[in-house]
Amino acid sequence: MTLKTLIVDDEFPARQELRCILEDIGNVEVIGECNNGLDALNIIRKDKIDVVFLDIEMPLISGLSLAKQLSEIDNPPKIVFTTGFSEFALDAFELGGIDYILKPYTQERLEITISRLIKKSGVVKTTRDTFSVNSNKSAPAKIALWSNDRLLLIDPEKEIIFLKAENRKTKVFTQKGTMEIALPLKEWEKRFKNRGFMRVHKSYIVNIAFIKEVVPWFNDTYLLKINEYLDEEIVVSRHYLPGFKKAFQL
Amino acid sequence: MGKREQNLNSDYEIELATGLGNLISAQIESGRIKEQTKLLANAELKALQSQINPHFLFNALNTISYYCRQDPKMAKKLIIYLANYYRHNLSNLKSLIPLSQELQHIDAYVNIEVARFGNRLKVTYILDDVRDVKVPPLIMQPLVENAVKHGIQPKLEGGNVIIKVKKHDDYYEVVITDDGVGIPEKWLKTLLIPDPNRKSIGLSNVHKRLLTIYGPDSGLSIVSKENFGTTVSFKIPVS
Repeated sequence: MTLKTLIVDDEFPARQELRCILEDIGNVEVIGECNNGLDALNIIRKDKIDVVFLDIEMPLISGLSLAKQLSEIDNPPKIVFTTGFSEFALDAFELGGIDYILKPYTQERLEITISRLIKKSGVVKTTRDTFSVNSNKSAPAKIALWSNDRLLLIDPEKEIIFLKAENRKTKVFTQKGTMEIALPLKEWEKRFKNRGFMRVHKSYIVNIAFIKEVVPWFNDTYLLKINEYLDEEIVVSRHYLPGFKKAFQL
Repeated sequence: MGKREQNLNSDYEIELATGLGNLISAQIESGRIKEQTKLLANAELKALQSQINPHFLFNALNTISYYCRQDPKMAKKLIIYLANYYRHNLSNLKSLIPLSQELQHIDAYVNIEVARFGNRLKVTYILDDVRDVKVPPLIMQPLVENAVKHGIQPKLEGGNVIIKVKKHDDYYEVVITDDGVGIPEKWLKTLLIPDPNRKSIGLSNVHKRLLTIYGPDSGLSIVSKENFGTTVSFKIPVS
């Protein structure tokens, strides 16, 4: 399996460095380099490209707007965004990037990208929503979450323990650590409604599979105990009580 | 009689005390304004310095990483330039530095950008004898950075930046010119007004510091035309 690859970056050393590392890793054929997005668009329309490594800040059109244009063509290549600084991470995912690499490049990080790409192209046909965290279609099988500068793939049903709204952000407590995302709890609720998650409080959504104990609490409500998070006072609030009782036949 | 004299005295004393009070408070006030102006100039400088400029840093490191493989000697040079660039950015809070030092800082920056962009960026210096000139630190460097970042970099074919210091009878003229994409007219008017929401504070910051240090007649003047380029200049009085 060889990935036909196009490198798009306006800086020559950055293109060369990426090419060298990719060729060292193998399974990759770099079929071209572009120093701007318009040239890249032309090549992608003509040739069959599997993956585009796309710098975000470029002259003429930015990597983000190229990605947007690519999403409108048939069989778009997969996009791996590259950038010096990670202020566009969320935008990049909303535009269907499947990965996001920070400069300076390292071989270790790019190996992960390549093996992920190969796995994906071998097993299932990838639609560009598969990794998107902001898709309104059916909820993705796995979701991508940032943990420091690493992108972790999380299986929501198996790995997310609970979600907590905090300071207008959502904290995601998973078995791989705690992550933060700028997506309101309400959106999460919509997406994971029928996948074992339950909204129990204005600040909490829990994965039912992780509830260890349900303790009767004041005012006819319940306190939920979750292993390793016994300090978290997750209370089923009155508003969500009827649904909760119904689900557990209390 | 004695009582009346006492009254007179006390009226006179009250007036004197009030006058003195006004005088002293005016002086305290003016002293405080001076102090605040100084503090302000300092704070502005710190704000500029604390801009670590992460895009520049990480892209520079990526460039160096390429040269480590292709041309280790060049990589070594770039590391030194990067060190000099950040050292100057982070140190030297003295009020004035030799212009030559500011130019070295600019040169370190320029060398890294030329390594990144290759022949898309050309920088020329036209300098009169500047040995005796002292300037506030980081007064030219942000202008050069602006010219590269917002003038040349968005232009596919790249362009030129000219850095000029010209000696006149009672002042030095500093002119930074680029033939990049230019600044849209609607932005020109607001460019020098500080706006905390703007990402790039370089120009308004330099402008404000020039006004604070050299008085209301100084400050930046900007001439720009879209698709033709931008010229930013200011004057340093001979002290």
